[in-house]
Amino acid sequence: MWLAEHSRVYRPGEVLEGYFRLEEASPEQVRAVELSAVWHTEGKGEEDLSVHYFERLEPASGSANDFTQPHLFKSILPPSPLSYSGLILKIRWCVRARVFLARGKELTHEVPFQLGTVPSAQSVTAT
Amino acid sequence: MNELTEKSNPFSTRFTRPGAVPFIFTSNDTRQALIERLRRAKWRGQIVGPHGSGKSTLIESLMGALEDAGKKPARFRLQSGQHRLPNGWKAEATRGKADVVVVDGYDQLWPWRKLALRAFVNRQGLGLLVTSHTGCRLPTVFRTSPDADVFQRVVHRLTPGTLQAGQLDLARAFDDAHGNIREALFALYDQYEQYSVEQRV
Repeated sequence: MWLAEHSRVYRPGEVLEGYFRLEEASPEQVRAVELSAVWHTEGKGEEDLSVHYFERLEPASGSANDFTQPHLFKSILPPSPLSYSGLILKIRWCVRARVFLARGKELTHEVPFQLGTVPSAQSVTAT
Repeated sequence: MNELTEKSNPFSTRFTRPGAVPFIFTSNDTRQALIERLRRAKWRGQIVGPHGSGKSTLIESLMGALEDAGKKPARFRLQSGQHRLPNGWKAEATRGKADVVVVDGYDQLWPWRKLALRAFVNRQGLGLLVTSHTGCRLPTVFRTSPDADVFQRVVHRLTPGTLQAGQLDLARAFDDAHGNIREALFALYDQYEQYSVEQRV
C-alpha cells in the first residue's frame, strides 16, 4: 500500500490518494479487504478512534487475483483533528488495510500520514 | 515536527491494554491448566488479585481458550464505578447462545446485582467466570499477584531492543506503583515522554 504524496504530509481539504495491492493472493485464501483512513489517539487514557474513509473490497469474480492489481483509493481529508504529538496525548492518522483470510485469519498493514503541521510539545523551563 | 518519524510511546494504552499484551504466567501454570480447573469446577470460577496485577489481561487471553474448549463466552467488563451490568446483558448472553458469562470487575456490582447474576446463570445453566479483588464464593481458578519479573518481561515485550541504556527506571516505576503493573506502565509512559522531550532539546 502506498500514498501518491511521497512526503505523506497533507493539509486539511487536500485529497488523500493511494494504491493498494497484494503481491501474492491465493484465490482461496482472501475473503475480503477493508481499506480505511482513520485517526486514533495515543496516551494513558482509553484510545479514541474514528474512521474517516472506509471501503470494503470483495473478489468480484470469486477470484482473489483482483487484489494483485493496484486499487486506487482517494478521499478528501477533513479540517480536523490535526496530527499532534503532545506529552499526554498524540493524534495519529494512518491508512489501514485489513486482509481477511480463510479460517478467520486476518492481516493488517498501516501507512501513517500527517494531517496539518502542528508543532510537537516542547519542554518549558521555569525562570 | 515530523509526525511520521515520531515514535509511538510503547506504553500508550493502545499497546498495554488487556489483549494487546498477553498474560505472562510466572509458575509452570498454563492457560490450558486454568481452563481444566474451570472445567472441573463446572465452569464456575474466580480470578482473584489486587489492582493492576493482570486479571483483565488474563481474562482477555482466556477468551480464545474458552472457545477452543467448546464454551462460548459472553463477556462484560465493568469500569471503575460501574455497579451494574450493561442494559440488555441477559439478552446478549441468551441471544448469543453463550455457555459462560464472564464478568471482569465482578466485585463492583451491587450485592443484589450479584444475586441477580447468580440466579440468571443458575436458571440458564450457564457457567460464570469472574475477576475480583477479594474472594466471592466461587472456586478460585487463579490468583494474580504483583511480580517485578513479570513487569520487566512485559516492558521488554513492549520495547523489543528499542530502549537506550538508562532511558527508563523500571525499578522506581514498579516500587512507586506498589506493584500495580498498570500504574507502573503509566509511570513509564511519562518517563518515556520526558526522555523524548530531552532528546529533542
